[in-house]
Amino acid sequence: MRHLSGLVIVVAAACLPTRTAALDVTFTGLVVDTCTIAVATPGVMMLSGDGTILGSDQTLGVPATVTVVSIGSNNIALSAPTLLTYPAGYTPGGGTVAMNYTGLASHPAFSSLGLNFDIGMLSLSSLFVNLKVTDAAGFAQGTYTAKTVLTCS
Amino acid sequence: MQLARLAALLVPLLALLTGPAQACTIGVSTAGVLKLSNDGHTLSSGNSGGIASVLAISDLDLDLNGTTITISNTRLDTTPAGFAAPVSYAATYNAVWLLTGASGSLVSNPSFTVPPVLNLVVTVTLHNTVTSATGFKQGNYTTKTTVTCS
Repeated sequence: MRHLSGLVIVVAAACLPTRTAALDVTFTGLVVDTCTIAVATPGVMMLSGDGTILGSDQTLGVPATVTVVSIGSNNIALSAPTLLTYPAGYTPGGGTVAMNYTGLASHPAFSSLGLNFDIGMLSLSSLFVNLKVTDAAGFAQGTYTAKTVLTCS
Repeated sequence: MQLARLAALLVPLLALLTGPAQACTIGVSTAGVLKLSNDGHTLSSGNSGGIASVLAISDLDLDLNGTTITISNTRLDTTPAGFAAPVSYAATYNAVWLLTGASGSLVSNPSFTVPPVLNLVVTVTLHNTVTSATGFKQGNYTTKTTVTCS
């Protein structure tokens, strides 16, 4: 009798119904075109040996570093560079302001005009921008500031 | 006499165990939402702003083997037209039930067994991650992960 009871239990366990369920769990996400820019390092302009060029491409000068993150398709535009501030003793107008850039895109030739280029999907990347002011008449003592406006859209 | 008493006790239990098959039930209580990472390389419910999917698994097996829950087959289900970048997938989970739980990933530990406990519900928090070295094109993405209980 005891053997019979044990057998009943074993048989019952072997006959346990299969209980299975499966579900596909769904996640949704939306990616939109975005662009993030930041000035990681401001540029520093230094005077050339002959005193006619004040530029970040000169010895001890520092190009500005702009970081860019792009999702989707975007365009980076740099406005025509301008001389923003200068000392009272300097008369602007005789010189030219120009820029170039390297890094995530390259335009090594200096240009006084605005420039732009397209970018696609881009992880954190750097654009190095040089600005320089050239004036055959030289520069008065003081602080100068040149700028280009960079937009990403 | 003792055997008769034992049999009387076992009969209801055996009837329960051998009763009509009833599948365990998996329900989604929170839908998962993927968000893009700051560097644009990962689309994940674990990124800032993302939402994990929360599942409730009930009607669990009461036999001595318990219920095995398996997480498998994470895949990209829908993508914007033209998106063909190679991607890799990852899924992680955290499951809790009476007084204890389990956690793991699709790679290292894709399944776990819940011991038989009456009135048991397992809550599973599931994350999905898709990684693309070249980033993601603008548009809607959907990932899926299969969860099975048996």
